[in-house]
Amino acid sequence: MAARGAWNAVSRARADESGPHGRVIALRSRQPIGAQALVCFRLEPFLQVQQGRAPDVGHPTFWLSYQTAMSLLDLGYDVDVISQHNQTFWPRKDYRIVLDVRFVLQRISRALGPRCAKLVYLDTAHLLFQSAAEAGRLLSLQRRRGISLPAERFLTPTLALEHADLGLTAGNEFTVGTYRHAGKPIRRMPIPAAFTAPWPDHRAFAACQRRVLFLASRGLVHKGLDLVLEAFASMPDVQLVVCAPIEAEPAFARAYHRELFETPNVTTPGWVDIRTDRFLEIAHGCAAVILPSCSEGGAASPVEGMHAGLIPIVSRETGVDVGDFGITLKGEAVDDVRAAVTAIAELPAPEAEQRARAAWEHARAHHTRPLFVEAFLRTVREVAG
Amino acid sequence: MMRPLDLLRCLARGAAEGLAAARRRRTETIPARRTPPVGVALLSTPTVPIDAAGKAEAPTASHWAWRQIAGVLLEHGYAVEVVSAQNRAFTPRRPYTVFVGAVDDFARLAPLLPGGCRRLLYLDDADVVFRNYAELERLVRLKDRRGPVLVARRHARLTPALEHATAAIVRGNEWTLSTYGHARIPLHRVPTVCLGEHPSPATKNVEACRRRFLWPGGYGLVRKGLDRVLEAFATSPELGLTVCGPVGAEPDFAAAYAAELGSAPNIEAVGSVDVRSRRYAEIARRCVALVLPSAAEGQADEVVAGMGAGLIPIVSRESGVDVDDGGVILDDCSVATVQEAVRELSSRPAEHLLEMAMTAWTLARARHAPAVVRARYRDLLAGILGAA
Repeated sequence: MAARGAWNAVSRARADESGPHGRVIALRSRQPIGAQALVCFRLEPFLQVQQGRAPDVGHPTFWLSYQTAMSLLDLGYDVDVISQHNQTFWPRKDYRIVLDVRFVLQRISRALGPRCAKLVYLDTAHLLFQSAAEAGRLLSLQRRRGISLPAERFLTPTLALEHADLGLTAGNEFTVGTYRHAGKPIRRMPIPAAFTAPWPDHRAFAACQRRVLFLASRGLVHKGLDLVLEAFASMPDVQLVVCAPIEAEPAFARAYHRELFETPNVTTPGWVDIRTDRFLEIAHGCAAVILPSCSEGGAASPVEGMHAGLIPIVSRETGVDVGDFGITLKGEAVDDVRAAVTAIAELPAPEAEQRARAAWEHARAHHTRPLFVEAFLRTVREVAG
Repeated sequence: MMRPLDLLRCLARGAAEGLAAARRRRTETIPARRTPPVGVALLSTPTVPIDAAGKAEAPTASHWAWRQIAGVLLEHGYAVEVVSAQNRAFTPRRPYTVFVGAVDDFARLAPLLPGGCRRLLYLDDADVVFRNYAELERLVRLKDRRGPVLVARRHARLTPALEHATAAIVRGNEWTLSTYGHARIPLHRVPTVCLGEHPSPATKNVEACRRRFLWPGGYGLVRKGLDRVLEAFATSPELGLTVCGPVGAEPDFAAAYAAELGSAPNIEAVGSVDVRSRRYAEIARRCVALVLPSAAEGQADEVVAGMGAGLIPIVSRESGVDVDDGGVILDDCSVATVQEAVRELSSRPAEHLLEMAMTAWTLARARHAPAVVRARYRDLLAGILGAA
């Protein structure tokens, strides 16, 4: 990483760009090749460094923001970083590479030169698909249980890919399919899992084979926790551990209070940082990780579960390929969840352990942060020459 | 230093915002017709004033409905206070005994009212969870079918209004009501009023107009199925389409369908047209039917108005209008189904078309005439107020 270490950077805010979204953070490569790059993503980790702190790259988008800029520095680019929400930035340099994640590219693309390689990182399934999928889950919940909950993941769609030369996604063919309308090439990338661990030799697999981990972030209906809770409420002989930010969605917590907190086979630790020993302890007490999400751009949580030695049970819409070692749910019904969990719980222990091992090996071979960095560097070299 | 043009724009924007804010703050107090009044009723409505005396024609079916509600309350001896549902600064301070509110501000106001106050929620659309999904699903289908990515125009925020209401008045039919199947309060149906008075289509020359159709719709063009209708007609050059709706208000839609709207010889876009105007009557005379494959409605005003003008309705179930034998309910709203429906209708015998037009017109008068709908509001509110 010889070219890195560019924190002799300047941050400037133009008079009409008040607030953090208007800032431009300029990073200088130590081995400049005389080319400029623009990264339009999250500013938080860069602001933390400017304040003399270590960047918090635990959150996947913070890591992606930080790492893509660092990789470009490593390649010798001087890098300007702006917020993905910046509505005023106008390019005054001859950028060779622009990497956007939301709305900047569609606004500035006409000001970019002909040599500029325009990349967009697609961190979700197409946002129209995502919003509709969540709305569909909310409607299904209302019809099933008479509960109306608000959308947590509704976002305005972007036209970033329409203005880009190449899309990058950590998702699979499902994810790519939601962008087919744009007619642009899309390159699949490794899922940059924030967590890896050695194979848990000490785990007594037979003892944990009837325990499943639900691991997810915000948007609990979007992620399918309602379906999982309803399934487990009728499977008293299988245990569920819920690691998700329940406290952040009080309406959901009220609606599923009985299942979350008063059902003997369900334990709810709530949000657990996957970088902690506590997470490892929880994960190593389970045999499988489940995520029946309605829409993802390559979900990290099933892969992080695989790194902990768990068999993945996922919906097609998680955008994660689980081969023969995992289970892709047949549909979005509670019964589909129940069938998949039962299938894992009733496997002969040696076979279950073999599948968990295959999942762990697959995750290590395909989905790590170093593998993502390699793929990103390779892509930039190819598109920018 | 701001440029003069920017300064002008800024001043104009400021003036417009100031006017809008003043409109939001406006309240209307209508004294009771009886002394002392039976009580004070609070109305939280989309538009203020509602002009309960009806000096001017109600601009929309919604406005007309609120006017009826106020009128019935006045008949029962209530004083009526009307506040804009956009006025988030309003705090109820009087001893209201009845509250009728649109969904917008209902959940904020209802808990601020006295304990014994009847809280009636007025719902003029399908349930928000359903309609948000319905519009988004249409947008995804459009993206996958043709490529354009358009934004949701009618996406609405979920509020706990139903949880704070003692009863709800729902403008729609049984289908509309079914979208509120989760509600735990009494739901009362009311029909949409048919604005405009048009003569019977008994003498309509259907041979002359059997190939022309009307798409009548409002804001949210994809939700209302204009994309599908345009595609269906673009490949049916033997048929004609008149588009009555605010196409210019949705530039991304207009750009995506520029070819169909701008240069297809069989499609004309005439903008929004008042259903009580001579221009609308002329358009209705030139068309045999209206087509509205909407994804979600309470009860589509534009369909009811078209029926009242002698147009045969070809509509989705989600339009919320019962058309009986006077129209066609689409099995689904695909482009192929819309195209098949308009072609099939166009090829029916003239006497059959005339019979359908007459049935539609008669239905509009029997179920949606102002006197009929007014009587329904009167009966409904009398029942609710009597039970109070």
